[in-house]
Amino acid sequence: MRLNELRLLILAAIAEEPLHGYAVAEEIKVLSNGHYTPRPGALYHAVDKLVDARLVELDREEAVDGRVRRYYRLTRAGRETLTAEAERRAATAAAALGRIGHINPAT
Amino acid sequence: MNRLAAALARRIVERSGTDSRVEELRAHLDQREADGHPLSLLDVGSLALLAIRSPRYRDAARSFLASYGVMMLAAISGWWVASWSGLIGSTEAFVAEVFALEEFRFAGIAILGLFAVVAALVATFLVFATRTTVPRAYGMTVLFGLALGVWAVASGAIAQTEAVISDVFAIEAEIDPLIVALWYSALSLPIIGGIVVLARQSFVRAYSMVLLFGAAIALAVTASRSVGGIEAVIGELAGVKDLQINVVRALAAYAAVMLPVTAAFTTLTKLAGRPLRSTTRAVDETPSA
Repeated sequence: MRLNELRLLILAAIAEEPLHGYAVAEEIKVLSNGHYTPRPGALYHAVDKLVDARLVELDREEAVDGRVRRYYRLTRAGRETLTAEAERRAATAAAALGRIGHINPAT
Repeated sequence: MNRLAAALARRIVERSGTDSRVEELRAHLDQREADGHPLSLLDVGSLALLAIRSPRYRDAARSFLASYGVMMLAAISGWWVASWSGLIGSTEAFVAEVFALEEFRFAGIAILGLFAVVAALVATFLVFATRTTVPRAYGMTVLFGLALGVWAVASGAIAQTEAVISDVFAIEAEIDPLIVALWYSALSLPIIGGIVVLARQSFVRAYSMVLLFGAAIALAVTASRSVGGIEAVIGELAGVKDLQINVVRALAAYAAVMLPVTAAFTTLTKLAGRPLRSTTRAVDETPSA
């Protein structure tokens, strides 16, 4: 499955502990230093796609103030995919920064 | 604007597929409201897209595409066969002769374009008709008529229509909006009700119902001795003197015409009512241990 920015951020948001949809959106804001706030429709559509791809699964449901919150967690495949994708992007970013002189990959 | 966006978002969320997803989105919106993050119209748009992608609406979209595709395929292949067999050419010659024109040509692309728009409306209506009840369908038809009527009165379209009718039929036309509204309400009930009921039947049952309806009308017309009046009206409109209608032959012609019409209708309603490939899936997974 191709991981776009939002899907990668969702995987990263729930990497430490299971979170519900709203908490995932808040965590993404933190992860992106406030640069990215996912729209609710896009967020839940991306979560559905990740569930379909078995990278994310339902952890539990909790009732809060009469509303049901669904918590999502990473699967083993999700963790492996996140690790591989994060390393690939980090390598690409390091190479790009090296080209413009910010970092010298040789040192 | 924020209150409008919030109201719209909640309205959309109520229609967003499964119960657990609706609850989940309600919880999301409640929390967001409590945190003081107002919704924008872009948020509402994203929720609307999410609702359309839900199994409920995705199946309706697939059904629409299936019935629309069949109609367009039939239109394009029908047009091609008519051109290839020379039917179009002979019809053009006939029209030119009847209206004393030097030359007449059908604008094929324009006709197909118009059909594409009409077919889209028909497919939308069929998808709606197979998923609703008679009272709801009738209520929406009356509301649509009311809105159209208010627009026609306010925009002066009624006066323009009167002028066109007067011009074309050389009569003094006067349209009373109230009378039109009453006729519209009375006629749309059996028509819309009939379509909604027939949309759920098999071909055999639908055709039997259509034949029964025709026989009942024929019986009512004959019993009420209205045949003479109908002959007079049709004769006047068609410019035919001493028109004689044979009720049995008229019923046989009705049965022959309605056979392919009912077959096409039931085929399209099957496509519009049931998607080719069901996408309904169990979204309400139970939490795994």
